Amino acid sequence: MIPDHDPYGLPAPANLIAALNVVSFVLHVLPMNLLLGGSFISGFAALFAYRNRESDPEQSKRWAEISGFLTRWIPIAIAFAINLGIVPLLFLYVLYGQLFYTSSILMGWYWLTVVLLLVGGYWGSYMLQDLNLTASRRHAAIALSCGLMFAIIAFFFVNNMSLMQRPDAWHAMYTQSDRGNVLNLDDPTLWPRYFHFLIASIAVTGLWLACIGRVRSRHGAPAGELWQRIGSRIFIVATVVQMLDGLWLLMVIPQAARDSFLGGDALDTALIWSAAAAALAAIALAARNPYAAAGCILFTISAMATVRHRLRTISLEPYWSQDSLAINPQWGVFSVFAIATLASLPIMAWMVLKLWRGQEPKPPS
Amino acid sequence: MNYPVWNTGNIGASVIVGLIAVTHVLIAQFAVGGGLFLVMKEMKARRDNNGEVLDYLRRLSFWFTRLTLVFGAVSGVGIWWAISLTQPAGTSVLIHVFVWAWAIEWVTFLVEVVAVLVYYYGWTRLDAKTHVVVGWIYFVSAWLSLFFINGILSFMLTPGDWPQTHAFADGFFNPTMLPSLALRSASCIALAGVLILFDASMEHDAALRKRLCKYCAKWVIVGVSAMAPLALWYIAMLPPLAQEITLGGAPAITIFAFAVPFLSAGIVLIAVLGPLRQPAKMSPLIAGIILVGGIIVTGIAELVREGVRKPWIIYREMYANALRPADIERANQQGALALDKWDSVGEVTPENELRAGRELFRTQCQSCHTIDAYNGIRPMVRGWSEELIDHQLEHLNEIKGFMPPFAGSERERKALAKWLYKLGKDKPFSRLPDEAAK
Repeated sequence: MIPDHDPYGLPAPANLIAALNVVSFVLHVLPMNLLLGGSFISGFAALFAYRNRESDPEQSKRWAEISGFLTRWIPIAIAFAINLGIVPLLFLYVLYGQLFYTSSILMGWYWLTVVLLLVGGYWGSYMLQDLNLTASRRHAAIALSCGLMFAIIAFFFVNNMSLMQRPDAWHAMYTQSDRGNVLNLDDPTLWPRYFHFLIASIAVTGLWLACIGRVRSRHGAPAGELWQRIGSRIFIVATVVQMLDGLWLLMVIPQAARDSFLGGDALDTALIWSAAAAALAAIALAARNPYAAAGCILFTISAMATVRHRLRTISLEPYWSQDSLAINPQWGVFSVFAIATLASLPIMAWMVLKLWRGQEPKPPS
Repeated sequence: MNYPVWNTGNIGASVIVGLIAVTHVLIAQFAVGGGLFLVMKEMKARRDNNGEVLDYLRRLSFWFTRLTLVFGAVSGVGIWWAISLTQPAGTSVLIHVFVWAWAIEWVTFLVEVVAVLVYYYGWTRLDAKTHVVVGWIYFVSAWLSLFFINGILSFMLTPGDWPQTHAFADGFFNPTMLPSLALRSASCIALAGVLILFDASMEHDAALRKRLCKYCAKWVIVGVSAMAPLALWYIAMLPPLAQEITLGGAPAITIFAFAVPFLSAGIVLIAVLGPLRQPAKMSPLIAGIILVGGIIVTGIAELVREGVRKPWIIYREMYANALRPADIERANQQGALALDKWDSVGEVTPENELRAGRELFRTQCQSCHTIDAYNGIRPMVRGWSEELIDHQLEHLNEIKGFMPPFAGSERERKALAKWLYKLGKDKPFSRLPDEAAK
């Protein structure tokens, strides 16, 4: 049982809305990975720095540098993760409103808690900047608390996104409790889906560190090589685990979707396995050439975001199809949006370049 | 009916939305006004070659960036979160009719985020001219963000010709769009003055403190004074029922509506006598009083603006309980519970009538009323007979113009009346009649 779609219909063809949803989701996921993975890695790096502060001061300093570097970037990543998260969510509401409002209401309090957790994690990450104590237990505690808050946010997101795909379960859930205190815990896809995002965050942050290390060693910074080594190692281990988790997820998704990804549909099959192949290539390349690995992973993320969309579409097929929605296009305002987007790009690029070429040699702090 | 109702118990859906929304309005409007303050003061300080003021602005931009990004951006998303949980059908209309306006607003917000970060990190890295240009880019994009949100928000109260034409432009460029934009822009200036005054009053350097407090006082006085004629313009453009509610139709709203000009006048008076006339004697206490006053006035004004829209969530399109006029007609013929996708009662029988009453309360009343707390229904029906309650329900919109009509069959109405009657007889915060009957 699904609520009726909004009577005013879609403001553009469904496929365009879906494409905007997928593309903007990729843009959101990148900074999201950095803030989530970065908080954990920064926390553990601070802990290592603290542990080694007497036995190996040199090592301790290196870890503190990594922790401090992440600390400077996390608030910026949060700002962009929030901003770029608005777009996929907006188009999700447009296309899947009937499903998504319902699942949000079922888990109302949890869903609203996301806002508080976000304020907490965001503020905490600024506190870390002010403290500027990277080799301390205090830094580690705050960074890991922020990471935990972000991880809980991710958990609620995964709950909502998976619950919206289960219209058959809603009525019983709502009859049991109308208090907004339901989670999607009996869905077999929940945990592997959730781990998929957590592990990806660690992997992407590791690869990012490796790339920064590469940039630094080219500029002759002594720590560059170390960063590259640590970062690529984090990336490789996390990505191997990620593949196992991916297999787990593949085993528990609905039969129809699994069939589709295992040869039933040529395009779906090509999409998921080329994404996996690119991830394998990234593992092979990460240690020597992190830039190339990053290119591969960008492909993997984009392809997997599309796989996610296909999985959603196929899972919903028994209950709902986007083709059932009325379309009432608003091309005039859409053009204004397209022009505004294009016009904003050079303005933003100009500002960032000016800052980049600014006189201080340090990254922003 | 179409969507499940989130039962927030005695906390109240409107309280949740209200708390987040007022927080956001305060910070977001400060984000616009404060942006203008920063760049204008920076230009003047650079002309005068005043390093102390520049240094103050750099420190100001530090907490300005954090406050607006952490609390402003997140509370903005928070409003969206909250309204989609408490008013899914209304939110769905706003999203579907204005999706590209939201999308354009997102672009302006993105530019705003980039600009505020570049401005903040750029104090030492950018040359003076570039830094000022970035400041202007920030302010213009922040104001444009207000421009787009304001069009959608004002649409809810005065949709103009949109109900007939369903055209984007008719809804966006609606009758209160301009007065509301002007009013909010003035409020941005006032709030910038109020918040920065509080910060400036704690400045250690006495000469700098005096200078800044005087300047902030001007912002407060200009912003608040400009709001008086703009508010009259705004009220003149309201629908007749909303004017009536403001001017006596709903006593609570009327009292609040009249409190706004008096409190605002008080703020201007304190700003003139305090920081403007005697900036040297300025203390955080007086600045704090102005700040608290500014927060209270903003909160009350938003509450009134929401209140005068009753009984609608979107005027002439959807009532506050998410029913459309056509839904009510259908419910009167076929029964409200039969149309409710989330109901588990079905047809009303003597056995289930209390449960039916509870479900009807949930779908039709709970968007505005809690049981015992905010706008609590129990104290309202205390001492009423079942017949009186039923009579009130039957003529709800006629007796109380700010309430939607009851939707449903006579049998359902009587079930709701019985449930409310039993509720009124019990002590505050006791179990609901349907639960007690189990």
